[in-house]
Amino acid sequence: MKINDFFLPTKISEAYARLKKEGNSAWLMAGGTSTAFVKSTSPKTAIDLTRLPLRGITRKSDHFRIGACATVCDLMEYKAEGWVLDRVARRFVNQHVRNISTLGGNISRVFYWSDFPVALRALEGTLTMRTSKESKVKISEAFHNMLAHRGAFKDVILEYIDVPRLTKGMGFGYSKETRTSEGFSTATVAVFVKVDKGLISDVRIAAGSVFPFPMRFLKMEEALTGEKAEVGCIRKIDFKDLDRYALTPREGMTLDYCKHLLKVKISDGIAQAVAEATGGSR
Amino acid sequence: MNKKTISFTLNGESREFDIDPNERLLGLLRRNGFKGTKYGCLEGTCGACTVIMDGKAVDSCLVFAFQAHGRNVVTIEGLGDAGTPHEIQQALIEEGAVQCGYCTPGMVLSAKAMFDETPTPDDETIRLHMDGNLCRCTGYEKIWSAMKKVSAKHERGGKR
Ligand SMILES: Cc1cc2nc3c(=O)[nH]c(=O)nc-3n(C[C@H](O)[C@H](O)[C@H](O)COP(=O)(O)OP(=O)(O)OC[C@H]3O[C@@H](n4cnc5c(N)ncnc54)[C@H](O)[C@@H]3O)c2cc1C
Ligand code: FES
Ligand code: FES
Repeated sequence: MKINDFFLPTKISEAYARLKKEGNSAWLMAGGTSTAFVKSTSPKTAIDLTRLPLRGITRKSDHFRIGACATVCDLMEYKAEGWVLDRVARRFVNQHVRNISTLGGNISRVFYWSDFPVALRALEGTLTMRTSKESKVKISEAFHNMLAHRGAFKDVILEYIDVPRLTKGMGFGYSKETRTSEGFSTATVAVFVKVDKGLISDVRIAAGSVFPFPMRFLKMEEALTGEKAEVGCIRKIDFKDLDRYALTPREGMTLDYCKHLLKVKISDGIAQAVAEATGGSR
Repeated sequence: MNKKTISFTLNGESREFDIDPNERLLGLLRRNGFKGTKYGCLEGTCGACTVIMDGKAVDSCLVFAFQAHGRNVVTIEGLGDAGTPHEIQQALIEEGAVQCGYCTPGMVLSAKAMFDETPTPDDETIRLHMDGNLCRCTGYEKIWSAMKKVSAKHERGGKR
């Protein structure tokens, strides 16, 4: 991709006005680490988002509000009860890329290997976006809309990401497989579990990398809902369900191996999430 | 080419540069004589091109030059020299952690960003901060020992 001009706004309104003015030649740029992976024939004007006041992480009563320009390193270093995105950040490439890649950039254009969209599909939450007016969208809805635009947001500036703060009875599991420690994912799974009176009352299981766009396993979620919150609940899942999905095994992987890997990762994720929700160690 | 001018602090000095909007910080630094910043993979995996930008180690092959506007950038030329090595460089020499030396500027800068933030890092912190730098020669053991040596020096209250 070729950048032939740039603009360094310090206000969101300025950035948005420029986005409108430039139209198709605008390129919103946060860390800029995705540009090597994007093919575009026409030159772009980069609109640098990193000088906007969108960097911090704030704790609210039942969620965390994350500025879209918070870096993956910010997410890794942030400490608070009920905060789980540090676990995802830790497994993200390497320190240099964590230092410039932003959460907003990671979810505004989704590649098969993108880590945070998988975690956010399991955690849910809401996105605040600047279009002609400010709008709030549920994460699941935003990702659904994104599919119509080849996995990228169109004509919006993502401002904030709100993710739930995990409280007693909730658990999160995350499992990512790579060939080398900083390599792209070959399978990523995230699981959110809520336990009420010893039973699983809510569960979301999401996977990425084995699909072009992260997916939820609704049948598996259904099988676990209402079950006793213990690791043995994994036996309730019929992993033959994976046959229904058009999996995209990564280079060098057979379809059987991909299914096996996914089965192991899903089991790991559920075990971690259930252990945390029931007060055990992850 | 649509030339533009940017300015940033480089090794403590305020500098202005004419740039091509499409050029990366690595290219800008090298064409201005800062050749301690090395070309490697050019895709963000080897760390040979590491610089410190606003206190954080980053790959200058990934950063567009314009992204540095208004920032504070440190290259290896901003640290010690052969006569007066920086304490991290000194520790690498003492531990025999340099062979071909191609990765060394990047290693030193990643370590500097880490020690500036955390003077006595634990093993996990060292692992995380140094995981973006590859070394083809040393097998990492001696680089690891050098990091532990600097940390131990800080623990004893040695000069930073
Ligand atoms: C060597 C290497 C390895 C990598 N490995 C992985 C990996 O294993 N897993 C992984 O998840 N990622 C990985 N990445 C990073 C990933 O590819 C993304 O590039 C990165 O997370 C994007 O963040 P960014 O801030 O750099 O975004 P940018 O590259 O600046 O932007 C990404 C996209 O989002 C848009 N955008 C950015 N911010 C906003 C906003 N606020 N509102 C609307 N649109 C916006 C941009 O227009 C662009 O389309 C890797 C990158 C490199 C260089
Ligand atoms: S040259 Fe920049 S990371 Fe390899
Ligand atoms: S000393 Fe040769 S690459 Fe590290």
